[in-house]
Amino acid sequence: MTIKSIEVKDISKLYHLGRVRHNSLRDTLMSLIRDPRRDARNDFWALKDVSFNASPGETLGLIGRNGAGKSTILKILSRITRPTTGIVEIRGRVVSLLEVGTGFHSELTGRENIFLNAAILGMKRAEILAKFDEIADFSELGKFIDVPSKQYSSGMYMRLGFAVAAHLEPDVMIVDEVLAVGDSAFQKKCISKMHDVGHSGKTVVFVSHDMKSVRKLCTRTVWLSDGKVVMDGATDKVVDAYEKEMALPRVIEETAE
Amino acid sequence: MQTTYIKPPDHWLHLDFAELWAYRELVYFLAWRDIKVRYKQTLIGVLWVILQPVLTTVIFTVVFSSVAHFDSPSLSYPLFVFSGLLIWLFINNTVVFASNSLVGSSELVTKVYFPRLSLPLASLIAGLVDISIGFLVFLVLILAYGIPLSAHMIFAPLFIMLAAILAFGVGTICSALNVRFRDIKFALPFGLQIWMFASPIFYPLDILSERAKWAISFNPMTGILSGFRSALFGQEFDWTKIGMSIGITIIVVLFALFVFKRMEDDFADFI
Repeated sequence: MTIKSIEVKDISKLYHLGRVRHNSLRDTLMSLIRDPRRDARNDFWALKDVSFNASPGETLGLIGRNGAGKSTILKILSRITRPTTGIVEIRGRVVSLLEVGTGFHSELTGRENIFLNAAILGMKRAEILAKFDEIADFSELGKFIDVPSKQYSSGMYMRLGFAVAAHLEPDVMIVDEVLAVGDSAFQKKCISKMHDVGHSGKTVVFVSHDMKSVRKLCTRTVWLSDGKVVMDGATDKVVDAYEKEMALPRVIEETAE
Repeated sequence: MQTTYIKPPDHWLHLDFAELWAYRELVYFLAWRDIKVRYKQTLIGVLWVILQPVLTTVIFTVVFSSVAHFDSPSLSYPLFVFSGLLIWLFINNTVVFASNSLVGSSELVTKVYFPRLSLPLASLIAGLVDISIGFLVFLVLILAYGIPLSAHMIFAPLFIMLAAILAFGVGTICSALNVRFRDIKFALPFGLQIWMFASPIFYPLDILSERAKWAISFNPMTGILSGFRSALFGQEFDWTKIGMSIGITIIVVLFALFVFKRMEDDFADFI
């Protein structure tokens, strides 16, 4: 049996909808001490007993309607939030690209932002220095590299963000489809980069609504609905079933587009 | 290959200092960003670090020395005030910046993982850079005033460190609470103002009544200021006051870490 790079075991995530109300400072202070997981009225399980895994070299697709729990899984895998129950094991360096250019500061120049962004995404200073020229070239910013990034076009901003992300060399890469916004040339660059990563023995988790890219990129796909796994298997099989289900009530919307 | 375990929050005071240490470069970069950004689009830039205490000293000297006739025993009043303001403005600025550090970086907190304590810590380090510059300028000022160099001066940075720990503690509590309760933004300026007036920054302790003196001895600023001034001006250290400060500062920091740890797992869901 090969060693899995991601193992998700029975994770559930509970959200309390709406604000927790504190009527007095005393209540507030007490709730700091007490367990916050009570008051079931506004509870919402975004995930319920979800399990799946991924092996090195695998590109795993996560599909499902809005609100199915895809983003919550990404947040847990990226360690932004914790599961309410269950456990996830991830082997190796994880990089999650929920958004390109995270942590950019518009007052800083492109050069400064490369350092800041790379450090935030987990690169060491020495590593950044070694790869700086490569990153700068990849971004195609040329002489604009020393201009404050508030003067950049949104395209330049994104190129810079992706240039950093592309040089992180993670073992596990978590990608949200928001990465694939922007012009088609940029999208192609993202997709081909992910393809490379997937083929170099790394693990990619890819969330998308675009079934074409899922079919193209993912070796296996997990279909989520209402916080539960509906189907987990070969991409073609899962996507076929998903599209069939989606086609039923939404034919009119789909054709109108 | 390193394995990461992602588990439900454990809610015990179990702080991962090893992890924070592993992320020290990020802390450095965040502090560097804070410093860079703070003085961008200002005309005189980092000069503000010196101008802030200088101008405040001038104001306080005019108001309290000339009008209210406060005086400091065996020391020129402007030097007395400046030494107090140097520490106070450092604490004030660090607390203000730290309290906004999480909310101001909400984009980071909801998108990337890193030890959240890095953010208030970075605010502290940015503040430390400021006070280091201010301190060096102050040393020049002291010598210009004809205060003799003494071996006591070596201890001055230790009191800056104590002030740093206190500021970090208070700033960390505010940063965590600010995620849930934006009231902090409005309440903090008042809190800081009260704290300033309750600290012997521009008045010597001697003008206070015995009861006021007793009350003010619980303010950790009292021992820090007393120690800092004794170090600078070659006076005897008042170990009771200093010991009290150290004790309260430790309690504040432990409480801050407890509150922060208790709340940090939910930051991304609430921010």
